[in-house]
Amino acid sequence: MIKKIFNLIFIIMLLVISSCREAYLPPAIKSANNFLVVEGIINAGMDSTIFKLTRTKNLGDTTLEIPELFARVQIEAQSGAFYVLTGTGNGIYSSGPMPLNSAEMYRLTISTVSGGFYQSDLVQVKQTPAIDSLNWKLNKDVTIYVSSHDATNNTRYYRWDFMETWEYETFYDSNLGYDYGNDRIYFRDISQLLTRCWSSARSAGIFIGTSDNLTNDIISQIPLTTIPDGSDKIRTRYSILVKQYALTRPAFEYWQLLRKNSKELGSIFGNQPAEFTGNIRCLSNPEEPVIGFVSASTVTEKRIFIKNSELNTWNSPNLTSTCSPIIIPQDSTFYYLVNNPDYAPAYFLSGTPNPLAIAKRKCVDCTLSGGNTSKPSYW
Amino acid sequence: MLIEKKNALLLTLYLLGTLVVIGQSQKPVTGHFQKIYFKEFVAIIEASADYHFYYDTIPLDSLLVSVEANNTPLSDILVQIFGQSNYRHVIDSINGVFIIPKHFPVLTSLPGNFFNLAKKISSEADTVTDAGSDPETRQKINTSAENKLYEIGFRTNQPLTGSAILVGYVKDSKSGEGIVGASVYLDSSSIGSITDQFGYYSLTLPRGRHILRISSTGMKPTKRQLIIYSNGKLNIELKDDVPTLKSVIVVAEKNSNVRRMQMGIERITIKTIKQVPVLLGEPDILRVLLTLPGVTSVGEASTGFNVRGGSADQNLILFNDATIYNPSHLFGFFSAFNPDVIKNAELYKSSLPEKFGGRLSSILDITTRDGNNKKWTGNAGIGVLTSKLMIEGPLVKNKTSLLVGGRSTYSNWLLTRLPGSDYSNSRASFYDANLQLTHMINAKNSLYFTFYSSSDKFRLNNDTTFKYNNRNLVLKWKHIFNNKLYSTISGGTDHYAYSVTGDKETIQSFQLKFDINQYNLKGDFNYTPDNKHQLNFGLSNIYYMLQPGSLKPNGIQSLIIPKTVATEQAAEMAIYLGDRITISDRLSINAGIRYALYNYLGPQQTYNYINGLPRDQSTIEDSSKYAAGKIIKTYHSPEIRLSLRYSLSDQASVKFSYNNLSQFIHLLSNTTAISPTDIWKLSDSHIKPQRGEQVSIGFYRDFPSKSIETSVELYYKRIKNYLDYKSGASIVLNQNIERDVISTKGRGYGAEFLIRKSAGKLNGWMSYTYARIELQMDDPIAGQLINKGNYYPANFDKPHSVNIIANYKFTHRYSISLNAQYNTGRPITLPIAIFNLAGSQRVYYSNRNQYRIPDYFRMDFSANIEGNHKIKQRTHGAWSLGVYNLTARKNPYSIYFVEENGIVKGYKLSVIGTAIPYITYNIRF
Repeated sequence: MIKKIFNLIFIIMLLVISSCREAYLPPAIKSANNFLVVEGIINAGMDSTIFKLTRTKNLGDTTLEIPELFARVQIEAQSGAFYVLTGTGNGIYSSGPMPLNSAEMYRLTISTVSGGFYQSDLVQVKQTPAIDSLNWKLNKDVTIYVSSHDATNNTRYYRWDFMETWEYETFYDSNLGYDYGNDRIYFRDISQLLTRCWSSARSAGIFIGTSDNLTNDIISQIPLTTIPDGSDKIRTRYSILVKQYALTRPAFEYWQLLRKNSKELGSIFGNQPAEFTGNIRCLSNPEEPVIGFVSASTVTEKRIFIKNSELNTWNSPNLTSTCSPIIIPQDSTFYYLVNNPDYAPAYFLSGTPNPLAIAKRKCVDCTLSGGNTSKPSYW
Repeated sequence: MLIEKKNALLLTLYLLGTLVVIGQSQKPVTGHFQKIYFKEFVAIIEASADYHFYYDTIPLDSLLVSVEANNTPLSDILVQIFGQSNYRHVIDSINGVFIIPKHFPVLTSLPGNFFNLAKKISSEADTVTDAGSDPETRQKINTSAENKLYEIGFRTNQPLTGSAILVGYVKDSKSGEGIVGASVYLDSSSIGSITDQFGYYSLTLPRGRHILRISSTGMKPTKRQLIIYSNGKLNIELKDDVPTLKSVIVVAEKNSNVRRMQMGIERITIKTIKQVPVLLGEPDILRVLLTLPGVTSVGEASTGFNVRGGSADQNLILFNDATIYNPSHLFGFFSAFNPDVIKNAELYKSSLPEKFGGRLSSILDITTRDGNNKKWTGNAGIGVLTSKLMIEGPLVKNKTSLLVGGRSTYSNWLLTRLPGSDYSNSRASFYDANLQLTHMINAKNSLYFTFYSSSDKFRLNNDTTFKYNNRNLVLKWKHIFNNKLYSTISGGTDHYAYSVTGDKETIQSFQLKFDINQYNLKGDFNYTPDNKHQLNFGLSNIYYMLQPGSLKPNGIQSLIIPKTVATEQAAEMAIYLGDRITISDRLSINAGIRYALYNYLGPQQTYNYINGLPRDQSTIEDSSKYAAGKIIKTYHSPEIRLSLRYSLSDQASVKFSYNNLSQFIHLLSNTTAISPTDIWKLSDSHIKPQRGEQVSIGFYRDFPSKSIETSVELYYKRIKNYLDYKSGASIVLNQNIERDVISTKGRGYGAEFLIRKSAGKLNGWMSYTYARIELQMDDPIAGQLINKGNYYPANFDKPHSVNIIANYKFTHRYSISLNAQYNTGRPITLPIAIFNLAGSQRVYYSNRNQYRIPDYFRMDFSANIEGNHKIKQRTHGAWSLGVYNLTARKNPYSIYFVEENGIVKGYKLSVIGTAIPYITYNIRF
């Protein structure tokens, strides 16, 4: 907050003297900077190895993502054995569980269709200890903590990512649907109800920890995420699946640096930006930067659930006013819904002919809030 | 103070006929004189001893004498009586005692035609009556003084062998102020000296006859014919170079670059400052510095400057020996020094005198004027942005003088005139004030008191106020032990603070503060045993008290949680010894050693981290608590100052110098430009002092017939433990800054070429500098290394710069000046790509400082119109008008990027994007 005020003061100061700001893109930025971005780990456990290959885009570029397609991706052992990852589209390359030897060193190699050849350093396979506990604390907001330990004192550096999933219901428990073509209100089957959804979100951020400063390799109560009071995520029931990865020290330092490299962009008073050099190199063009750090480890995971009823102070958002209904004569449905496309039928009222209550679509259709109606297997 | 003509002539005759020396031994006197009139005193002495007094009775008729004499030489008694007055005494060999005005010229030999001379001298004696106020008569004195032969010491009939010491003050004939940095040198050999900050000089020279030349920037050079018998004293008055007011910048320094011992010194006088065209017509010492070879800045609105690739915090800015932490107003647009009170400034770039230390790059030594000790005068100026007033004069004539100066701005008014509601509620104001008090206790002791204060306030839209201020006090005591030894003892306090206040009554209202206090005590001694050696020695003590930051809620509604970073204390001590050795006429060496001892002191709590790992919350091992005054960490090191000059001929010389230096205080700034909210940090157990060394070599060649000086200086320097920052490092209110800094080492090298034409209708200088400064991360615990551990250019690396300052003088009243500056754009790290990783969008940056912002070019123009040059009019007015950035080039100050609707856009910001005209009027009275 304070830093911002400083920036503001200073910028205004400059403007006072003589405001002179021109759009300007340095030539270095205009040229195409499509560097390879590699995300994923070599999974040494009984699980799939998945890598995602994308390209960086230019500053002004609005493209969502530039996947690297049709590359030949493989995991190579120092001894010469190799395992090919197959592309499944969208820049994703995967392989089933691979019989990796924890005493061996492995690396990732990538040959792109444009002729680029990339190779990571050889990395050791780290054994990830189990997650000891995943717990949460309610202090107005809910914070989730992870704890782990390694009795052999070999892990030391940890990284986590997680997937949050939550169940939620619409404001109106409505089974009404509307067929615009035939101007007809119909009742949905149970299988087609849009009142109960599950939404998921991958962790956004870098979560790392180390036990370097302790005599024993113990990770205790590292906060992963905080769900603010009243969030939709715990309106009904919430679940989080945390995956834990053991890191080598260079990998830990890479993630630490990447974490600090915020989206803040070299403003006058901006912080000095960091460069981060991963362990992947472009052998066909040594000058070309490659983003990402390849590690090899087993993966452990743990899932917990939190029910809304467990939170005695939770203030679920009051949607009464957002979802306040409009009562219309049933024979004017078409007129109202065509003129208010973000409205949908909610329920019938008693009376003749049955007046209809319409409400904002998201009050009757949970898929509009980002989730879908298929119940996850673990729910 | 009128001396009767008869007496004067008589006196002259006496002086011509006999050898006269002050302090000659006479018959001692004993007696108790309590508050008796001088007349009575004389009567008693004349009655008791064989003395006869000659004096002017009128001005001395009310003089009361209180002295205690117990077998005391009369001379000493008279020194007691007249020591602090405008009079002095002369006793001749037949016990004639002459009480004469101090500045009354003493002639001691019989040159040429006796009668002509006697006539001349008597007419000169006439003019002495109003010599203080009339420079034209004074000129006569000077001229005749040049033709006279001064006898120094006791006349002997022995052959003149060996050497003697000549000391004295070089003073401004008009104001009586000592002239700093005046060259006093023998015509025939390389013996010479430069006056110190009080105008005092000491010269060891062979006995015999010499021509002594005295010159100083902006003053009319003069000479004295001497015959040296033994040690003695000679005060010299220099006349202001009135007729060539705006043009003679360095004519007086003709030869001085070649002759001067040190290298890499830039001397600036107020005249130079006033003639360089400037932003909004504010004469500005820091702007002038930027026109010199080897000095650059990162941009217009930046505090500080960079010398030979050093960072801005590696410059020690001394204002009459007070350390100034923030030398600028309005966030760096103007320097915080009122040009009217500045006498001159010296910038040491390569060979630092051993008495200075504590910074790696340079010392900027600014000396203020002492104040006119002869009459009350003043100066007032009205400009676009500021108005200023300066008044000076004697509190006790020739003894105590006072100078008071002040400057203030009306930028508030300007702000309200600006269109757009953004600024109408904003306020910007600043002021600076100076007070200078000089008191001559007696011939051997003088006191100097300096007070300086500057303050800036900026208020943004009625809700956030930003303030910073400097406050400095210095008291200096100069004591002359004897002709060979004198000392300067000084003590003072330096204070710098800033605060940011959120004024609006909200839960977010806050007050953030930073301050640094420094207490100094030092003693400098100057000892000249013979003409081969000139010794400097002394010690200095600095005690630092630093409040790195505190955040407090402002107002009752505020919910800001108070946070304070623990204060820091440290003591820095240094002793030094230097000797200037003249080996031969051609070769001289300056060798010095300085030993610095630094202690970081408690109370403090420090963390210890696991060895060899990046310092982080996760790598804390334990913590230690230290009580107040306890030494937490000590650093000490010897520093070598060596310079050597070899004259190839009268017009050419080669110089070499080597220095190593330590700096115990760091400016924490992780922004590209230096921001006013940057804080200072003392070296502690984790942050080591910066170390640097520099070797330089220079060639100097003068072409006196064309008044052209040329020089080439080459240098190479290395620095160690310079701080760079981890990404995302936060500096404000950081309790554990050691976790966010990385130490780097640096190397710098460059060549500076200068051609200066110092006289003539067209004068000025032209310089080209090639300079590089590169840093390398060598911190074993840095984690990821910037630029893979390779050298990368520092933020202020600007390889090429060209400066041209040209003045053309049409007449004595009209002159024009042109200033052109070009330099390479400074390095920048660009965000060059965007990518998604670990669930969020991130920016990929180029290698550190891999790219550069566009080059900088600016040309300014000014015209100066002086009022008429009649010396005797009541006031002198002068107009100055000009245009800053004549070509209206939009020099980029910064390139920055903002995200607008999900798209990152780049912008170029120019601080001064247009030509800015100005006009100022200055009046002298």
